[in-house]
Amino acid sequence: MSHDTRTGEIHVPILARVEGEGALDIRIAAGRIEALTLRIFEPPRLFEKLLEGRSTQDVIDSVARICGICPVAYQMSAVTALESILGVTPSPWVEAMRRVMYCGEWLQSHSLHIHLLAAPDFLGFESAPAMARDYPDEVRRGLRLQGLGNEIIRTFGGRSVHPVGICPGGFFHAPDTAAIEALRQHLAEGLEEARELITWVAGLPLPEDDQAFVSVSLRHDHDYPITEGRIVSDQGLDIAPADFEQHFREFQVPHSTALHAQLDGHPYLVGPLARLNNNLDRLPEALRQLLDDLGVRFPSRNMFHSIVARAVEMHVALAEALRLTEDYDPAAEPHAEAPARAGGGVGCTEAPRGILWHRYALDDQARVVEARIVPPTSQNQARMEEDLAASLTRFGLERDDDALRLHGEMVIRNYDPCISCATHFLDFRVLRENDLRKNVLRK
Amino acid sequence: MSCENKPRGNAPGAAVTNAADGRPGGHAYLFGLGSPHGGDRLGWLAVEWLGDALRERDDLTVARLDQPVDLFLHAVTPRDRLLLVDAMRGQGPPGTLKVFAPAELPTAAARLSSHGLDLASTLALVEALGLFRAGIRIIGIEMPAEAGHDMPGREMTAPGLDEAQARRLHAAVLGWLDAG
Repeated sequence: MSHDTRTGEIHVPILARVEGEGALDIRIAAGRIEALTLRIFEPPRLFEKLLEGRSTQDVIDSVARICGICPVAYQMSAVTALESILGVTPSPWVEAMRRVMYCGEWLQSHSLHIHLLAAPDFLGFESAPAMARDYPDEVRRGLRLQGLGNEIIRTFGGRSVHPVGICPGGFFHAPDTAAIEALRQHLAEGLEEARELITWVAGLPLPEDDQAFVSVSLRHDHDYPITEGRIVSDQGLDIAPADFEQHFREFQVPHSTALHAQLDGHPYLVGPLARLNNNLDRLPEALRQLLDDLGVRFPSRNMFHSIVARAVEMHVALAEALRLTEDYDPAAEPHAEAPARAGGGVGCTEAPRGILWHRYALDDQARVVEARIVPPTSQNQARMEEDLAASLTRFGLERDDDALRLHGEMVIRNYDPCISCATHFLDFRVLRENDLRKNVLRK
Repeated sequence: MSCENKPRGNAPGAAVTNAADGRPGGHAYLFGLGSPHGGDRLGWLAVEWLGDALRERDDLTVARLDQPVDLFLHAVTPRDRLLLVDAMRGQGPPGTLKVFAPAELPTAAARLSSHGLDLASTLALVEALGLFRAGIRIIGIEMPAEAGHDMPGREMTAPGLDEAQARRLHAAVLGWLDAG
C-alpha cells in the first residue's frame, strides 16, 4: 500500500506495556508536527474527595489503593504529611525501616519496568515473553529481583499488594529478627545480581536522543533521596516541600482527565533519570565508578538513559536495605502515639516514578477536611508531549505510520507512566496533511 | 513464607539446600495465591491447611504467594510441576472446586490484577522460560457469596473450607501429585 493511499488513522488495540488507558494523537502538516496530544481518558477517580471525613489510618490504607505498583509511596507521602500535622516525630528505627520498605517498592517497580516493559523495546521484541525465550537468564534475574522487592514490602506491610503495616507514628508491629535475617540473605544475593543488571542495561542499544529538560527531584543532606528531602531542580530550584504550590501549578487540559503540571510555567521531568541527574554525588563511589567504566555519563540529557537510572536505583535500594538492617533489633515500640490534632501539612517522597506530593488539612478529630495529591505521572505528562514531539521529529516524520507508532510508544513507555493499574490500552492516530485535504474534498 | 514445607534451593524462608544437584526430578510446587484479608484469603488458607496435611511429602514445596510473579523467587526448573490454588468467583456455590489447565482459565480471572503482572502474564513467562514442563494446573475455590464486596455495613462471611470441601481439595491435590 502506498503512503498516499493509506488511511490517516491507525488503531493499536492493546499496548500491553503501559499501565493504564491512554491514546496518542498526532497531526502532521508540511513535514512538521502541527498538533500532538497524549490523551488520558480514564475516568477521574476522585480519591481526594473520597478521603474527606476519613481518619488518618483510613487515609494511609486508602491511598495505598490508588496504585498497585507504588502503594508504599502513597502511604509514605500521606503518613509524612499526617504526622507533621499530628506533631509526631517517628523514631530513628521507624525512619530507617520505612526507608527499607520503600526500597522494596523501588526494587519491584523498577525491575518490572526494565524487564517486562522497556527492555523488549530496545531489543526488538514485541513482548516480555518473546524476549524471555532469547534472554531467559536476564528475565529470570529480573523476576527474582522484582520478587525480592515484594518480599521486602511484605516483611513490613503484611502483604506486597496494598500493604497494611504503616500507621501514624510508625508500624503496627516490628518484623522479628529471624524474618529480617532471612530477608538479608536474599538481599545479599540480589546485590550482585543488581550490579550485573546495571552492566547489562548499559549495554542495551539505547537510542541517542539528547534533549533539553528540567530535572526535578528531592535532595537529601547526605542520602540518595527516597523518603525525605528538599525539592530541587537542575536549574536552581531549592525549596521545602511546603512551598511546592508556590512554584508548581496544576491545570486542566481538554485532552486529559489527569491534571498537567508545570514548574514556573514550563514542563519538567520527575523520576529516576531526574533523581540521578540531581543526586549523582549521593551515589556510593563504587557505583559512580561502575557507570564511568561502562561509559554512561550522568547527568544525562538522553531520556532513554532512564532505564540505566532505574537499574542503578535498584542497586541503591538493595544496598540501602542491607545497610539499614545490619545489626537489626526489633523496636520494642514500633510506633509512637499519635494524638488527634487539627492543622495542615504536606509530605513529599520519591515514588519510583518521581516526586509524589500530598497535602492534608485535618479537623480537631484528625479527620480529613481537604486533601490534595500530585502524582508523578501527571507531572510528567507535559514533558512526555514535549519529548514525543522532539523525538518523533528526530526519528523522521516521513517514516510510515507503524514505525512512528512504535517509536511513540517506546518514548511513552520509557517514562513508565502509571496511568492506571486496571487496563492497558492505547489508541494511536496520525492525521497527515494529505488526509486532511482528502477529508475536506469529500465534504 | 511461614507455611512452606520441603522448600528447595533459595526459596524465601527456606532452609537452603542445593537446588541443582542430586534431587529427584519433577519436584512439585503448590502455591496459594491471595492475601491475609478478605475473600482473597481463601488461597492462603487452603495451602496452609494442605501444607499441614501433606507435611510428610518430600517431593512437594508448599508456600503462600501474594503475587503470582513471586513464584520466580523459588528455584523452579523445567522438570518441575506447578499447582496454584486461588479464590474464584462466579463458578458455583461457595466452596466449589474447579481445576483448570492454563489455557482453560477464564480470561477475566487470568487478567484480574491491579498490580502489574497478572496470572496470565506470569504463566506466559513461565511458558516462554520453559519452566514446569511436567505440568501446570490451577485449582479455583469459589469464595463466599458476599466476600470481596467490601460494602460499608455489609458483613463479609469469613472465607474458609468446611470438612467436605477440605476433603475434596485434599483428594484433588493428591490426585495431581500422584499422577506424576
